[in-house]
Parts: sequence; C-alpha cells; structure tokens
Amino acid sequence: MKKKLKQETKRTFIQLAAAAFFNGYAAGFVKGHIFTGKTKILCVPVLNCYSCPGALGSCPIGSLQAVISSRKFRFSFYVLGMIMLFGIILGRLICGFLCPFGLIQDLLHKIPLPKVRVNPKVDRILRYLKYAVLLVLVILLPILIRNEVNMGYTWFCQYVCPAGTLAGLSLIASNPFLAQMLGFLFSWKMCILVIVIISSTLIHRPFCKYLCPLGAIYGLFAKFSLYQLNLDKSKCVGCGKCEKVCPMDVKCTTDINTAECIRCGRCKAACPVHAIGSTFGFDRSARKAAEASVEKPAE
Amino acid sequence: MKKTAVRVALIVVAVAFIVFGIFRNETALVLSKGKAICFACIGLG
Repeated sequence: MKKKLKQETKRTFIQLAAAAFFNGYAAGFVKGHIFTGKTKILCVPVLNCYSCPGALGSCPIGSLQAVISSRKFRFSFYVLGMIMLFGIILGRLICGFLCPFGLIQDLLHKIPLPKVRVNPKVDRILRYLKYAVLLVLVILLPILIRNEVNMGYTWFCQYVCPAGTLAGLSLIASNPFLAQMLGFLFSWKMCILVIVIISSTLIHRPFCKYLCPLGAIYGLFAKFSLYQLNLDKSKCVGCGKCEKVCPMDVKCTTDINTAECIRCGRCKAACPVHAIGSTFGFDRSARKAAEASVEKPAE
Repeated sequence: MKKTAVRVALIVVAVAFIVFGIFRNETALVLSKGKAICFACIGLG
C-alpha cells in the first residue's frame, strides 16, 4: 500500500511538472494572450491546446488537422512523423505520465464520489469510439469537406476537444474582448467539457478510454514502443491484484502491453511477488533490464 | 529480432517524415496556426 502511494505520488509530481513545462508561459494566463514564440513550430507529445495561454508548443492533433485541412496539403508528414516518433519511443507512457488532460482526469477521479464500473460489453464497444474519432473527425472530415476557398475545418478541435475549451476558459477569463464572442459553439463545447468532468469523477479517465484520438494513435504503437511492461509468468501467482488496481481495466496477466494500457505502473507497484517489470530500449538492452528487474525487485 | 527491426524501421520512417515535412515547409503552417488564437479550438467559431 505504502509503495503504491509512493509510486502514485511520484507519478502525480511528474504529471504536474510536465503540465507546467508544456504550459510554461505564465504571463499568458495573467495577460489573456497566447505565446507566439518559435517553439510553437514543435509539437508537444500530449493533448495540450496551442491556444492555452501558457502553451509553449503546438498540439499534435490540432496541427495535424490544420495542415491537412489547408489549401496546400492533404497529408502532414511533419506532424505524423513527430507523433510516430513519440509513439515509438514512449507510447502511451505519455498518457500516463505527461498528458495534462490525463492529470486533470486523474485528479477529478480522486474526488470521493461513488465510482461507476461500466458494463464490460458497453466498455469494449466504447473503446473503439476513439478510433472512429481519429479516423472521421481528425482525418477524413478535415480532408474531404471544404468551403468555397478550398479550406477544410478542424472538426475535432471545433466540436469535441475539451482541452481546447479549458484553454478557452482561461483565455476568456482574462480577455474581455473574447468574452464578447461567446455563442452556441462555446455552449456546446462547455457541455462536452462538463460531461467529461462529471464522468471523470465517476469513471477513471473516460476521455482517454473512449475519445482521445492521440491516445488512439499511441495505442497503435503499444507492442513496439521502446518502453514496455513485462510480466514474468513464472513468478506470477495469479492473485489478480494488478488487474484490480488498473485504472484502464487492462487484463494484465493475459496482455500487459495492450493498446489500452497507459503505463501508469500501478500494476507493477501492486504486484506482491514483483512479477511485473518495465524496460526501455531495443530488444537486447530491454531483455537484460527485464532479467535484472526480476532478479532484484524494486524496494 | 523481428521486433527490433520493426522498431528501427518505424523510427527511420518517422524521422524521414519529419525531414520531408520540413522540406515541404509544413512547419510554417504549424507555426502560423500555433501563433494565432484558434477560435475554433476554444469554442468561439
């Protein structure tokens, strides 16, 4: 229990540090404007709206839609390359440790309210929703639907993304000019944000599980990312503690590196026989590290 | 071994994509989008 708390506290600190790092332009929050420096040429690895007053980099999902909905391009090598690189190096470890919107959902879930367990059948179907969001709202609609000047729209950002709405709230709070522009779209996006907030208090990370297109892409790299979890089946006693503590309801004993796993490490901390370890690197170094971690269990 | 090959291939493809994207000047679009307030993102239109 103590180890679990220690591991979770450590993870929360890393999440807070990452959120502060990706949103390091503090003046933006006070003055009600956004950062316009050259670092915005780079995409951050997380779902962090570039219109957040503190954002120092660009949101990869927003940038992807912006490029493919432009007049000039129908495909973004640059943004997809960056997302692929993040995915192959860290995979969904990004969701578990770096994403500010993941942190918000984690904190909301700590509110002592009754927790809801989604029916496994419904849950299994809803998990595919994020792939549909990725395919339809992030890729197809921005490419296919064009206005009279041949420009597409950023459908996911415009109609769904609650991270953007949060960014908007912080901008509007300190910028009276923007406050005058509120309309139906803002009300719609606020409804989505409120639903995500309320459901986050009841269900663990509902946005990550069911809607996040970035998590969907990173999930595709789950089996190949350099960061992997390993289960030593010879040590596993089948107590099921790992599966009980998993916030993403992953079947750790059967498929530990599934696309749904956000690599939060709770299973590792909960395992009483240290059967779960983690590795980072290419096969040889990873295998050696796995052997070492099994031989010398963490304190 | 096969997994390592896939990993290396994916990294090579990702880096090649980034370089080609820079070559196509996609970065200018990303930067210009990032430097302006995105009204669609924040729900203002």
